[in-house]
Amino acid sequence: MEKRKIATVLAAATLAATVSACSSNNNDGNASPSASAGASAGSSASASASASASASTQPAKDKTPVSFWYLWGGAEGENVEKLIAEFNASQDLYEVKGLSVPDVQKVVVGISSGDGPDITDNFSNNTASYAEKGMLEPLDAYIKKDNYDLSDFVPAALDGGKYDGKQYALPINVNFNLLFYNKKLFADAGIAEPPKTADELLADAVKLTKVNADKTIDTLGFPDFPLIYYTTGMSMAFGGSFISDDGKTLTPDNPGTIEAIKLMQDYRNQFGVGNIVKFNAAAKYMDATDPMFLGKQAMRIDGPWFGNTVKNVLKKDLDYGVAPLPGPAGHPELAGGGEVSSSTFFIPSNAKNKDGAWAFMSWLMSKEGMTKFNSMFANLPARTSVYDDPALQSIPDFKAFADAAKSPNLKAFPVFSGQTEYGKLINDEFELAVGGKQTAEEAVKHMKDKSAGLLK
Amino acid sequence: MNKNNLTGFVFASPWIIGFLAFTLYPLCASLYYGFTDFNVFQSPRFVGLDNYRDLMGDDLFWKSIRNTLYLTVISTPVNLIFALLTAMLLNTRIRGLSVYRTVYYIPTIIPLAATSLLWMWIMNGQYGLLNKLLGWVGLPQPGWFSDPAYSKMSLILMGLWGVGNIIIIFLASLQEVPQSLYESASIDGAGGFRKFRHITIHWISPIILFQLIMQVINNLQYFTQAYFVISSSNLNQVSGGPENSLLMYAVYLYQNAFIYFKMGKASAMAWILFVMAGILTWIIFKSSKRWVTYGGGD
Repeated sequence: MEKRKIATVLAAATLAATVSACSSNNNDGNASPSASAGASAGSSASASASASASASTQPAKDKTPVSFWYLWGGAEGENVEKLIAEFNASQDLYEVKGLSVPDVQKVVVGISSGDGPDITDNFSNNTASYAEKGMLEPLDAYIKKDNYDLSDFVPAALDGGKYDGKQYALPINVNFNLLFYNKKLFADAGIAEPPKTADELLADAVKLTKVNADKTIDTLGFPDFPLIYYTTGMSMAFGGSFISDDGKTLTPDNPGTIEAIKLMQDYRNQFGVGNIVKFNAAAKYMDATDPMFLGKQAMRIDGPWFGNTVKNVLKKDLDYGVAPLPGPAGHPELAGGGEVSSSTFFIPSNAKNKDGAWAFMSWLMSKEGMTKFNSMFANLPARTSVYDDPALQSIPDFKAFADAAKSPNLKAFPVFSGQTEYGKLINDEFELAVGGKQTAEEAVKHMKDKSAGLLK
Repeated sequence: MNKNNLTGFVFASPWIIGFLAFTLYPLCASLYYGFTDFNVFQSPRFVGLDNYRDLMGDDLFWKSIRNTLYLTVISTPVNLIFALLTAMLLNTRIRGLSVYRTVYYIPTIIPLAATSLLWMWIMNGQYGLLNKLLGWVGLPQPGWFSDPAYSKMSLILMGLWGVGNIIIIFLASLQEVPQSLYESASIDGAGGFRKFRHITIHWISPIILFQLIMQVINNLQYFTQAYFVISSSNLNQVSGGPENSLLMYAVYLYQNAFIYFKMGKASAMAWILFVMAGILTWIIFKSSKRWVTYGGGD
């Protein structure tokens, strides 16, 4: 008798636990910013919140938590925490809790499981793919409600947050890459000016390369590392476009891509593909072993954050110059080209505290917030109206980037739901070609064939 | 059902409920999702065999199968032979045996992530310890993880460091082999190798079978190390390692699920892997009748 009672109680308890676990899961998936769901989101971020010993130290009882995951880490992550602290001190409705998650996939997995953030940052080239899947909350209603002014955004950057006519993400900056070059290495090699055309790029790169006794590379002359900054960026700088003007056909087989591949093949063939691949694999981008910091790389295709990392974060004494990406020989009208993208912020469609997320986003995207953000991150703001702000002038290379932003030859990677796969297969085939496994013509043909079904 | 049965079921209910909710249900759901277009955020749409058809024409799918089978076919015997030889060495009577046993087991305790990061430094093509050593003795110094011709081999070499679990099970089974068999074999004039072939291998063959199946299944699901090597250098881009040479089946499954949000395709891949593992296991079991002896007479 006694035994049975205990058993019944146990069974009941187990059932209750299971059922309640299920129902609370359902709540998590729900959009309503209920107190309990909000608390569970807060707890996941609390680990990092403690790290940000901010000005607002009093436990915010009445503030609803807003969970914010960001992809930045290290010194950049600390900057984000500073902005968060400032936002939290500025108002008394919401408490943003930041968590550094420097891995896009982890953020996506978090969102897909319903335990993701209320707001997070990403890249413009993911907007369409995410939006098509219903992963993003459209911002139009919020923008309308607040009469939020977007008129001074760089149009191309704003478009990077749009899909199917709706605004799903807002850009905080305009990213494109320029050619950074080590002035000392250039002087040593007797080169007065950075290369302006493909021919000059190759000739200079060969002169700048230093080789060890065993044929391995000591100093890399060509902007070969990191490869992914070269592939689509240089294709566009050489006048290529990855989609037809009417937006109906993918055109990876454009002359720019072929020229970009051939140029790199020419360089690699002179010094041995294996030697260069090994050099690249040993290098870790923006790290202690980054060859550009060690004076072992003469040219680098990189973004506006490069100067900030060198000058403000690592405080390296690196004498470098910035120049537009070289264009195709004999086509001065194509000079100043390249690939534009943006860092964007979005609210997942299953966020628990969307109002709080919008409050933070609209604060961060305001002229003031955006200027603060970009002066810390040394990026070009997405709002052109702030370019004369004195706070931005101290950004390393700001003028070079602000000037280059005016070039009509800057293009964006095509925006459509399959663009992640499109980008991946371009990089794959590009890598095979510059690895000596296929010709440039074969590479672009494979890109064309494999991307055939992507644009629906 | 009598009272005792009921009590038994009630006490087992935590496990039963857990099994139904967290194992059986997801298993069945994934079979269904395999026939749908499902991206987590919207409800699944039934598409019949589209996912399977899509996979048949997907180059990366076949590449990932080739990569995984290459790893399985080479890594499994290499790991087993290396572990067995080490276990035999650790089964001899030498001074400091317990120290050696500990040393060989320690790597197993280290998390795979840490192991991967450590070996990526050791096998770094430009600055790595391994290439420094090879340089001293005048051997070629490949870019281990960066050269598609070497990258999978590098994973296999790295894997040898973590076979402590296999060693321990072999060691235990070696100690079970009755000494009397060796003694009588010696009297009959058998040498070391014959004793190994005709006594040791026979006696531990059921253990070898078990280890073989576990290794095959583990290798088919190979993920962590490849994932770490890939993501160490991809700057937030989707990648399969140098020329997709490290795109293991499970890595591609993960990418389909969580990067492209093709849960349907990923579920289909999971079931194909299940069938593949089933067939391989069945073949091994079939063949085992020829080489596994269940002796002992107990």
